[in-house]
Amino acid sequence: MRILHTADLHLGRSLHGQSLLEDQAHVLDQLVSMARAECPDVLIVAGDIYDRAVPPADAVTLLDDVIARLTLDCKLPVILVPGNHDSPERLTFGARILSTCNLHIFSSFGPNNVVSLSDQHGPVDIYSVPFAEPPVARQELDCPEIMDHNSAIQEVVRRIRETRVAGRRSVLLAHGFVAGGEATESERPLVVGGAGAVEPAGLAGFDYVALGHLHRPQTAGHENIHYAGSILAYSFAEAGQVKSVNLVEIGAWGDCKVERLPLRPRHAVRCATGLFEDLKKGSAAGAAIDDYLMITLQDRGPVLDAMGQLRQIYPNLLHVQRAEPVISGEAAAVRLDHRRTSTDQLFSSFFRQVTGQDLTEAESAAFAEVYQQSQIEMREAA
Amino acid sequence: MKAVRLTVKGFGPYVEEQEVDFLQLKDAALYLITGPTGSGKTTILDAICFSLYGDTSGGGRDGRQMRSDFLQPTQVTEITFDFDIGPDSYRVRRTPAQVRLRRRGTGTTEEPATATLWRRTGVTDPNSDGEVLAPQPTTVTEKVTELLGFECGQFRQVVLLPQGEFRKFLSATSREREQILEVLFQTETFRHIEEDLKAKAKAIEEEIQTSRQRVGTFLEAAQVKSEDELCQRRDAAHQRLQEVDGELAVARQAETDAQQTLEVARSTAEKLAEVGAAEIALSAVQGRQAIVAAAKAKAAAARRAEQLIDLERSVQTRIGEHSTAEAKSKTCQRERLEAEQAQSKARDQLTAEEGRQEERTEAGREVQRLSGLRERVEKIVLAGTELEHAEREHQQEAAECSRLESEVQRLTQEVALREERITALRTSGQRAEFLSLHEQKLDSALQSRRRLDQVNAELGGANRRLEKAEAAFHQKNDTVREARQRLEQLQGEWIAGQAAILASTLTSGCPCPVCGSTEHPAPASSEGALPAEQDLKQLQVKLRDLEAQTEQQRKLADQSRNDVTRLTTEAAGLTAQLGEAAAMAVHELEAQLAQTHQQLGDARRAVEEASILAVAQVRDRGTLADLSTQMSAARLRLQGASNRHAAARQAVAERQDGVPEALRTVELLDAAIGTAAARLQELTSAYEAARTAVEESGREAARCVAAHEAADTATAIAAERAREVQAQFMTRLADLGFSSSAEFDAAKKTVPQVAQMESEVRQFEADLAAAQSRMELASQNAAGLQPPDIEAFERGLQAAKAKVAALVTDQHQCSEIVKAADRFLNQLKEAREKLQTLEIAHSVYGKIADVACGDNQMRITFQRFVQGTLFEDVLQAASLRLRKMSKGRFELQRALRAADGRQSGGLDIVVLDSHTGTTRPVSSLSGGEGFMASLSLALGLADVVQNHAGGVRLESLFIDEGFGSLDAEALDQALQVLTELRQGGRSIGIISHVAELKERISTRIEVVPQARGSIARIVGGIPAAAVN
Repeated sequence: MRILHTADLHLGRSLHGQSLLEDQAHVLDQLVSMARAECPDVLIVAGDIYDRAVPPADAVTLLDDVIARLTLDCKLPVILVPGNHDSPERLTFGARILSTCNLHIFSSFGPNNVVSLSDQHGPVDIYSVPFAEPPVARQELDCPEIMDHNSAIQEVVRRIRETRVAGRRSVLLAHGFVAGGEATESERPLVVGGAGAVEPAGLAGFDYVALGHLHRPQTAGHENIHYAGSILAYSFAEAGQVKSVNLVEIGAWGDCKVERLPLRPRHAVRCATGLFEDLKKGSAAGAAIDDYLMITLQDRGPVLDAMGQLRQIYPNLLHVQRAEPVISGEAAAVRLDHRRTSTDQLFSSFFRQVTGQDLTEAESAAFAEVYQQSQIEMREAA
Repeated sequence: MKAVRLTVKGFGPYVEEQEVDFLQLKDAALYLITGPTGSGKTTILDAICFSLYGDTSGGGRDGRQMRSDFLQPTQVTEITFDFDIGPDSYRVRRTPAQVRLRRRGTGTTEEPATATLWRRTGVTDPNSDGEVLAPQPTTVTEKVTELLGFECGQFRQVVLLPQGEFRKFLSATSREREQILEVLFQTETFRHIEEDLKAKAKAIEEEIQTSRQRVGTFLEAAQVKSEDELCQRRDAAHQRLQEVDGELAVARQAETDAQQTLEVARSTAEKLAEVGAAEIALSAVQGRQAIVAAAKAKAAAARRAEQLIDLERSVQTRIGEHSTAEAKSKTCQRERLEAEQAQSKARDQLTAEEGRQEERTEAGREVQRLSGLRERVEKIVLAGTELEHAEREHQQEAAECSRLESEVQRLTQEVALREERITALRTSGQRAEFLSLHEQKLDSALQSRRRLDQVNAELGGANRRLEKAEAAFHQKNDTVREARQRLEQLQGEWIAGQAAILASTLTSGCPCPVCGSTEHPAPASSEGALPAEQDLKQLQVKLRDLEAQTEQQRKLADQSRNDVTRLTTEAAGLTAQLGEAAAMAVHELEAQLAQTHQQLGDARRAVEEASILAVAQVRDRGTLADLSTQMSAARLRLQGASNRHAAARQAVAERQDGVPEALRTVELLDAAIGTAAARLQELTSAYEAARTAVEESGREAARCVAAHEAADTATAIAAERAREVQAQFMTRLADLGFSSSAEFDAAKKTVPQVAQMESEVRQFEADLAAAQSRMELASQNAAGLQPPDIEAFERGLQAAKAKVAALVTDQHQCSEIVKAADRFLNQLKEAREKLQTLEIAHSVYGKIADVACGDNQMRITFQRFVQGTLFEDVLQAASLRLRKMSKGRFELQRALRAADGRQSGGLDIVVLDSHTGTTRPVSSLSGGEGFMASLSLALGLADVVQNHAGGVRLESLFIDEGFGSLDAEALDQALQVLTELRQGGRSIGIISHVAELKERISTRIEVVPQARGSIARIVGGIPAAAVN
């Protein structure tokens, strides 16, 4: 059984204001060619088909075109599940009708989403778990203990395990964040501070777990839990990653062989750095001057209209920034916290700053006296 | 501040009580408040703001206006808001001023605004309010400001970003920002320091002024123009002082000498005076001698008299005894006489009593007799009771008899009446049969009559149809005939025509096809047109049609005729059946039927009643029989009772015979016995009494005699003794030298008097001795002395004294002048020194005060400097987020140079655009960019405030619209930034109508408009039951 596994199409997404639809069309063409060339038994897409709940019209047209080519021309069964970017109700329009044409789109969050295919060794069950927010999962499974994604998925998988037949090869298709995976800055966070990440142990028992959501192709938590990765680089943090599609071969006993088939984008996403003058000479990109670029300027002094000038050389320059020291997380440590510094010191630094001179001894003594008096008065008044 | 629960009633579009439980949303980082336009989304934020501060979020709607227009005048607008600050829970409830109906009486009353704040830490029951912290609107607002750390205006810029106004903080002036930051970061100490410095500098200035003035005053007070003059004056005075000191010493010495001489002269004069005095005293004493001698003699006499006192006393006692004894004797005599009298009286009484013996025996006999009667009387009483019994019985029986009789009578009457009634009813019942038959008959007649009417009607119809049918038939017949005629004509013509044709072919000599003759005398000729065969055929067809129709019509007519005949026969039959009833109308028949029916009913009811009555009759008859038997029995009993009664009466009469009437009862008898016995008793006791009286009086008399005699003897003895003592006394008197007792009396004196007299004597003797000795002494002292001249010495002394005094005054004056001058000089020196220090201090304080208050190159005050550092932190935190939201393009920075040299700056914001590399003012940002910047700023502010120790806690944040100005990517980024806030435990409520947000945010408060007002419900949160 050969399965083509991809995810995170994000049709309709734009990067720094630049629409990526044409690039997505370009890559999806490659996907169709791959389908023709490799002749897999099924294509599974693990979520985030569109980038928004109400996608732009041309994204819908693109998906329609690609799916039509796959199901009608290539006669390839396709299984889709909605991810956290999709609106499940809208995506699964006509699902029952479409399933008669071998296009399966599942939106209900339960153990009944199974597609069974057979090869020469026997049947293979593909279970699909669409993405659902905890409140929705609570309601659909009628299980009030579900508080986060982890518990939701654990519960569904448990029910799947109850219903399935032992000894048959099985594949799980889902969308979520598994503990051990590495996110980039382009995923919409499901998990805040590590809470709610799905435990890999809960996904045991399947021969292949096909996941979507993380944009870098990787395994997470266990060797048969795979993220196919997005089809394009959707942020500058993904610059330099090779995007790919997984081709999985499941043997007679459920053993999996995973091959990553690379995708070539129309314009690569890259970061470049250097001094303004050098960059003006076009040294950043070399041949691929059309790539989507983010340029980090090393200059110390201010540079006027950097974006405007550099854009004339690099037509797809998306972002210009200055080299900054990295500040992570929430508010940084406070400098000169006015509570930790004594008032005298504050005053002397204030004096120095506004007059350019230091306080004389007499002046600092005078200040100290007034300050003490003021303290006493405030204490008495309180 | 973390929102927990909001309950709104009658506020904005929320008419009924609407509760929003924020705890159901606590798991969601973001929740959306969504609903159609105008449904009441911003009202939720208004309610929160109003409940805390009494002012709504936009500032444009005031509390009064927010009262829902859907409310009845009796309903009240009220908002309750529960919130937590750290570990403490609070509740605030507020009602705006509103006009509502009076509860008693008519009309409306203006109810003022109320508010209450409770602390609810540890209270779990949602209905109990907790401990009251502030009970009225102003105090509640104050306390809330204190707890939260914000005033209303600041709250609206930091916690609750209102619609369209989120840019306020972003575009505020430095001064406004300073105020907000002061409250948030509590930098008012620095402001106080500024003020204190300023005040101090000013104070020092004032002091300098006063010091200068004081120097002038001193110089004036010293009446000099300058200090040097003062010095001169002082030196001169000092010199003079020293001179005076020398002169003073000499004068003092002279004074002491004069004093001494005067003393000596004085003592001499005294001694001489003393001699004279002693002489006078002596002669005075001697003058008293005579009096004293007299006193002495008196004292001696008194001593002598003392010895006789006792004796005199005994004499008097004896005389007293004598008189008492006499008196006693007299009393005894009197008693004796009395006793003798009594005795004779008693004796007389006794004789009288003895005479009454007869009476006594008589009384005794009476008593006995009466007792004997007792038995008989008892018997009478018994008989009397029996008589009463019998009488009562008799009466009872009589009553019973009469009752029974009357009962029997009544019943008999009733029975008779009922019998009559029954017969009457039965007769009426008999008619029932007949009536039912009659009824049936009438019923059938009615039906027939109805049918007859119907038939007649039908008959009329049938007749008409028949007429019509026949008419039609005749018509058709005529038409057929005409047609036939025509046809025949036409046929004739055609035949003629044929004949003509044939005839035309005839040639003489040829045989005629018809008859075969060869001669043709009269060949037919065609006249007129030859009708076509076609026409002929047509006409034939038409004729056939017409004939068919005629036939049909004839059939119809026949049918109608049949109907008519049938109906007529039926009508005739019915009429025959009805007979005379046929003549009557239907309604008459119906009336008759009804009547008959009613009568039948009545008859049947009569029958029933009769049977019921019969039953009763039987019962009553039975009772009657019972009663008769009872009555005979009663009669018998009555007879017996009257017999017994007579017997009893007889017995009573018998018994009463022997006993007088007055004694016929036991009580009367007893009474009589009693009286008799009493009388007997009386008589006996009187006799006894008389006897005892006699005895006693005898005894008494004897005793009195004895007493009398004794008393006499005693008197005699007493008299004797008195005489004895008297004689004794007289002898003694003479012994002691008294000539008479009168003298003795005069000589008597009391002991103290005696003592006094003797002491007088002694005193005199002592005085005399003293005076004599004094005289001697004085003479000795004054030997050989001459009287001195005191006056002269005194005069000398006075002069010396005066001189000394003058010198002393002089001395004083000089020293005063010196001292005063010294003082002034000192003061001046002090003042000058002080002025100097003050001026130095002034320069110091003045400088730092000026600098601290903004009088410096950069025109930044101290507080704003401190705030500036904080503000930079805020901007840093804000820039983090803004960078993210704007995809790394924008950053917020603080403008250090004042925009305007006059205005004080220090807290101005500029935006650094990384695409151009320069900064630009905040006002140049577009709508969406401005929203992102304001949001980042609010979040940055909240961050820094929270990270401060003791800072204000901001766990809830509300954003009212603004997301509509962001494009899809920016919206994504903004939401990502907001979602990250979950880590800090904060929850953010967003009001927006953007569709994308509705898709992405699953936890929502949906506001749904209803027929009147709106309701809000929570979707996608923790179910209410699971919150607790």
